[in-house]
Amino acid sequence: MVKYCKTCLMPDTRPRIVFDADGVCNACHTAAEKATIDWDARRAEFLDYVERFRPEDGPYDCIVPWSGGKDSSAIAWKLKFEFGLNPLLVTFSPLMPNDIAVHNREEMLKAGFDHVMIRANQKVSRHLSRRFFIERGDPKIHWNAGVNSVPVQAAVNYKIPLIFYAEHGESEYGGRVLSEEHRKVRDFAEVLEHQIGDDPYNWMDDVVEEHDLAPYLYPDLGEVEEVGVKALYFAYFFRWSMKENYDYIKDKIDFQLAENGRTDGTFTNFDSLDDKIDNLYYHMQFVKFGFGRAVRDACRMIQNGQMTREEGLELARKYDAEFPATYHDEHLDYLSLSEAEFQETVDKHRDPKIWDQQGNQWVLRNPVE
Amino acid sequence: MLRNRLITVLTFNDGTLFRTKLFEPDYRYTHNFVDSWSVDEIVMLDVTRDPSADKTAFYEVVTQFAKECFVPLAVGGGIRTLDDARRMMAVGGDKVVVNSGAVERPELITEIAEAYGSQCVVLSIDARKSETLDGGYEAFSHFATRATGKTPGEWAREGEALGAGEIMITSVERDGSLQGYDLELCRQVSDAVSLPVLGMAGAGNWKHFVEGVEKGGLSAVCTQNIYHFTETSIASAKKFMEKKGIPVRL
Repeated sequence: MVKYCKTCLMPDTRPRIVFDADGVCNACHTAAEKATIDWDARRAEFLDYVERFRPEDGPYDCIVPWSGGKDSSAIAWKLKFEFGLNPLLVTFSPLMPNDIAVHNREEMLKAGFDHVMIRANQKVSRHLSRRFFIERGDPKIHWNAGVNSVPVQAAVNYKIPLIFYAEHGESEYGGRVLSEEHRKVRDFAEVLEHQIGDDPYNWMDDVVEEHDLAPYLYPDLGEVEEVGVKALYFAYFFRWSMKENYDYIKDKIDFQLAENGRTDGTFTNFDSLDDKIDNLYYHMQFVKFGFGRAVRDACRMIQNGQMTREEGLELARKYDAEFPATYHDEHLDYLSLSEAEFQETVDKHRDPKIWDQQGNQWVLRNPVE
Repeated sequence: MLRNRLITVLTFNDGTLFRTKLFEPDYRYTHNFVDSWSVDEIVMLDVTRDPSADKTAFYEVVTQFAKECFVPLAVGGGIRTLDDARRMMAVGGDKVVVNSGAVERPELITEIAEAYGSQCVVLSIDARKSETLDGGYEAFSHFATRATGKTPGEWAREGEALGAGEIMITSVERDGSLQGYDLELCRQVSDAVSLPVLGMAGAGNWKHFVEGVEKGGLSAVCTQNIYHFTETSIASAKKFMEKKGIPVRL
């Protein structure tokens, strides 16, 4: 029987999420704690880190892993124009780049940033996407590895020790928080074990050779230590809210939104716009764990006091199950799957504890209420 | 030639397949992608904590699995009596895995071995690092919450004398990590007994499988990572092991 958080809408099927005895999830606790945090002290701690870790010479002060979306752009903007730092923006290319994000990135660069982007070998990338979609119901496993390793590779290559990641997902959105320090300093072993779940070194097969894995492999630990890489979560130092990040950046640049007024499967139009595969990725989250993109977005807004649970529930009922039709044909092409193969794969990932097959319909056994 | 085995370990909480980390269920998954052909053996463990919980869901999943499984299937979790072992065999197990039940009542090992043969009894030992015991490890039972006062090597040797056919050694600290097996722990147990030793917890990449055999003295390397369960993963892992000179069934 799936249980849902009493204060937001998150189910206990979310990997690693922790519920307390009153049925409240750890993301809601993180949100509540924000009211008690001394943000001035956190800001001072941030300035102290910057002073200690910015390189003495070289043009760049820090690296921002950057998709061009509202969150990483808001961070880059604040670092550059509020704190006077010179960040190098580093992007691991989306699997299926979306023109909206190409536009938004260019708007940021026009405002005055340097940018490095790695786009991985697409023969290998498409092969891995297809394999991981079939085997794991997630076409982005390797992308997750690349988006984590490429900024650290850049830190080593350009000798820039300081990296600012956005937020710690396990505490911010629900999961297992290994220690207080894990909310502040990025632990790459944790990321590998929690988010990626597998060592990219294992992905060699008849198509993929060892050198093809270069974008996905974390640099040699000795090199990382020599540069003294320190990867910090910006959200630890400054109050985090995806809605506020959007409000912030839209005042600064011409920030374009989802084409049809909202994104498939949810009510928002400003989040996760850079990769067309994301519409499928979040739908597979719905298939595997029983909560979709609308629940995910609503939880974040409920936790930040931007929406009531009832309002979120209504939006979840309306949009959570919506099929990601906008780019469906492109998804099939990218994954080299026929419609029938696609459907068969999706259904194999349905957990019978979560889903009930009624005729040719799949119905959630315990929908959120 | 005796070949080294690659074993898939599946842990079920109330009938649902979960990956575990530090002995807590962590990531749930469907078992539709578990390859039961190219792997050498499958171990299914019921890790439901509540001792009074209904085991029906677990038995059902074992039965389903056994129907499509072409390799030996070892089954365990909560076995306290010969009757419990019998039940596990009846639903589809080819052998049983005992842990806390054998710590509470060591003669359980002998009872099962006499009924089915030693080859059907796997003694599973969960070990934590210890600052007081010689060798630096202590065997634990009851989901690694209860200390036995014995080193894993001592308990493995006793198990061998009582009739166990294999020892499965699990590092509690490495459970769910991708940092490699605790090779020192594996070595202590494989040195202590003449039985085949199965190493568990920490397998992150295929180099770890090779290390487990070469440095840990393991006869079989286990992986509990759901990402290593598919046919492609197993086939390429075995190819890798063979290239490194480990005899495996391809």
